[in-house]
Amino acid sequence: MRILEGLDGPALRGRGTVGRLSLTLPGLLWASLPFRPASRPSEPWVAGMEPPAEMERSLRLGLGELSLELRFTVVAPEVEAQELAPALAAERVLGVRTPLSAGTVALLKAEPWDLVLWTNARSAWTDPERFVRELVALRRAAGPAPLLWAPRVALPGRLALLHALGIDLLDTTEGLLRAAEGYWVWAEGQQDLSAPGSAPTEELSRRLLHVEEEYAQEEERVRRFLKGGRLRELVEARLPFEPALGEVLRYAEGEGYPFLEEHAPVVGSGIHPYGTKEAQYRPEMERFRRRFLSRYRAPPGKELLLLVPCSKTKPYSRSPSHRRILRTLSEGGRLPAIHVVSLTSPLGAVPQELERVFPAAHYDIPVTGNWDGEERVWVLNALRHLVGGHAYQGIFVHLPREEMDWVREGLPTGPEVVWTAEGDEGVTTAASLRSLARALQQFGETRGPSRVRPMKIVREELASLAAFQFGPEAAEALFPPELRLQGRPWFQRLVDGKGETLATWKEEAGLLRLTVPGGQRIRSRAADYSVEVRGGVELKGDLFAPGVREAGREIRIGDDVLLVRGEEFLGVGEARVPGAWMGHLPRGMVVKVRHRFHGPVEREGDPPHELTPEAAPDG
Amino acid sequence: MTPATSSFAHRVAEERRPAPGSPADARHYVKLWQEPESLDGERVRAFVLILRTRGCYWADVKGCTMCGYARDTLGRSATEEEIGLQLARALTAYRDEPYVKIYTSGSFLDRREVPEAARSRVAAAFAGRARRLLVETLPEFVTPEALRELRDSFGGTLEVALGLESTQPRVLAKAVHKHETPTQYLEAADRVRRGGASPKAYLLLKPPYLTERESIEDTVTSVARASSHFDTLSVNPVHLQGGTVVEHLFRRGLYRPPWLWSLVEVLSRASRLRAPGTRLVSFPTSGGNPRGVHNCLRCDPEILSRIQESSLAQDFSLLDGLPDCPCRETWRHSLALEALSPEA
Repeated sequence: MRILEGLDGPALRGRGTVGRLSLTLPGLLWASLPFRPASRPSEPWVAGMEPPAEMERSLRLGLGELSLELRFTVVAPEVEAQELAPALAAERVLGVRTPLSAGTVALLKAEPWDLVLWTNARSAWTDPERFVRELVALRRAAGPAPLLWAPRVALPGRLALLHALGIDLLDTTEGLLRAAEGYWVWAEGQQDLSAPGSAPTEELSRRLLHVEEEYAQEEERVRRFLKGGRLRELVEARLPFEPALGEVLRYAEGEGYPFLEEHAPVVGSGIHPYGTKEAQYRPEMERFRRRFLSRYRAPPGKELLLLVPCSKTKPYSRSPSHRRILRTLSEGGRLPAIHVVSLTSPLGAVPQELERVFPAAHYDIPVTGNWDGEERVWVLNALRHLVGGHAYQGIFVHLPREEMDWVREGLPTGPEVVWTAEGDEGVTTAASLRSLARALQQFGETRGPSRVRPMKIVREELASLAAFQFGPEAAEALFPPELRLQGRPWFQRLVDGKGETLATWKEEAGLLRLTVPGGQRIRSRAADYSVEVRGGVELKGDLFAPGVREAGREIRIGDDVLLVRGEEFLGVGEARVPGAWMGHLPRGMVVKVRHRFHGPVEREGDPPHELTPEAAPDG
Repeated sequence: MTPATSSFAHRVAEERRPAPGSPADARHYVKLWQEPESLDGERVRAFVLILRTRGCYWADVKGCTMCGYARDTLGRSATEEEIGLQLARALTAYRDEPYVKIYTSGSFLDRREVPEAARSRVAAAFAGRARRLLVETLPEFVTPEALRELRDSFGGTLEVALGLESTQPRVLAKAVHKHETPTQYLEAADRVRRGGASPKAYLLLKPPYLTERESIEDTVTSVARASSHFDTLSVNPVHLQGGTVVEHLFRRGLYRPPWLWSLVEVLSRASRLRAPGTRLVSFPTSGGNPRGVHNCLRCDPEILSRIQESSLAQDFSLLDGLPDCPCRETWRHSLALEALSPEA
């Protein structure tokens, strides 16, 4: 079974135990041939055995001197009309064929399997759509605990993608076969390059050593990228060399989106390159676009929508261009009433109050000023959602003039839409900023002074953020009529009328972090973000896997979650694994507990919080 | 869960069945040719004729995984007259070859394929002209009456070929997908002998689902087990035929026709294991072709001609000193590597 040290998407980094074997994950099994010395004796290996009987097959999986025999019946799926039973290959090792039968699903769920072998993975690979569908179904049925081995599918260039989809074990068999057949196999594809006139047998052994070296280097690269949370980048880097990789990835992002998204964290750090077209479909990007449409509402007090280009510097408001624009706005005197929204690929639209939310502050893309059809659709969908859900008194479009033609499609046709950029030199030229200032001035002359109270608008912005994070219903419950904000722009505290802190917000995390009272307020509306703790488990420190009875399916890594037991409220914390994993892992921390509930807050001598209120934010 | 009633093999079988043929179609045999053979130690030419009949009934029900001969059929039973017309046409090409082989893409002894009267007519046509007549049939049609009738009409040596393929029951039932058990084949061979005819078996090399190594062992085992029941054992490496399970797997990269090196190993080992006096031969269809038994295609012609020569001379020591081609190492590695996964 798998012991988790870290996750990058569905790929697990850690250890795996199969019987007495303990393997590093993700892992590569080295094909061992009777007449060829092992080239990596310290690595796990797989060897063929004499068939035990007619139509039976036996393999041996080992590490050093320790090994485990796996037995299989040879099946003839195309001729056997009846359902093929899963094979108990060894103790706690199950060989399954996909598509999974109901009986296999039941068996997968019934026992704590150490290892599940996807025996027909190679056949499934010949049809990428089927491969993705069946892999997802298999992992869902098996749960996160067992190791999964897809035999004879991996080539060096496929390691990144296959591991990234949550296959723990792969092997070098197929690459060695290709090398034996005459190909030089790289992580970057294969070529038939046999040199005429060279000693053929010697060349064959050189090809075998070469492909093994490629496997070794690529597996090492996978492990390092995984550890750095960058495995997806390596996956994309391998796409040009085998079309099947792109097909599998696209099906994984299409049909398989819920599976990929479930494993994608909602927090991140640092700036990551999203250098390819494929990067635009990474699950965190797609999730941001979808949540914007399904969860986001503009703060009701905003009078004026200002559309601006995104910036290379993240968060946008720190960039030189945005700072110049913001300075112009603040000179206009009604900054709090202006809703600054950056139009961007591939997120669509990022309102200022979401600009810290992952991945809005964490991506770097190639920018040319040319938008492809899909990028435009993302922007237009977001724009329509924005202007359709809120009656702005004015809409200022401060974008390059050449974007006018297509951005216009997402906007109303009335006189409230004003294009404020001048010339072709950009949106931060003196002329453009003067034009923006002039438009603001005219807006002020027509509408009179802003009636927006800065404090109220900050609160609305946080409510929009909460809706994006927990869904609109829970967000509504979190904000009582009397809400005060304390702290600094980079650290804010939401405090209710009784002085109780409900949540905090730090700019580096971008999301709201709940306190016990805050958690209690949204509890009845946040079942998706609740973790039901098992009876008898005393919550002392963090929450570990065996303590979880059930967890909300919406919980992602980095999400704030509520810890409950029946009617009891136990505390709040941050999820370290997806909700779907929590109750199904054998061990490991699943929630980093932030606050535990020590009884009713009215209790004497139990201070609600220790920090003293600071100056109100300057908005 | 209700068990599925239709396998992929069954659907393939349904699709390849031709529509019932017109009387015009029924006048034409499928194919004929002459080929080198040996008869009582003498090199001869053999006359091979494939009649167009309704074909093998099993191919319509489910079918063997490697056999697509159902495509060469009439789609209905041929009448005695129609068989007669095909025979008459064929006889115009017959040059009194001493060895005659008649196939039907099925069982010559199944009266749905060849009506009883037509059977005798075919046999009688070669009476006095050929010394040996071979017909092929499934074991269930081998009866003393049918044998007697044929022997009476022909007069020379009657040879009855059975597509045993493998003596391993599970290989035969699952990988080859035959209807009868190996025992039924061996019993039918014994009936052939008791009926005064000479039994011949076709043994398959490399049905699907087996690794190359497993298939070598399967064929060698089959030779050892079958040889006392048959006068001749013919090893037939799989070649890809349209409308078969094997071809479906091949197109998806899940099947490779056997290596010639595998056939060499099978013949070398099996020739030492066979019962004394049992002939062992192999005349591969599509040998040296990517759709048939093949190596790297460079060394294939030489090896194929050695295999033919050893079959005709019954001297398999000719295979001992084959020139070493680099692809032999590829073969050796492939065999070992294939054994490392649960499915071939």
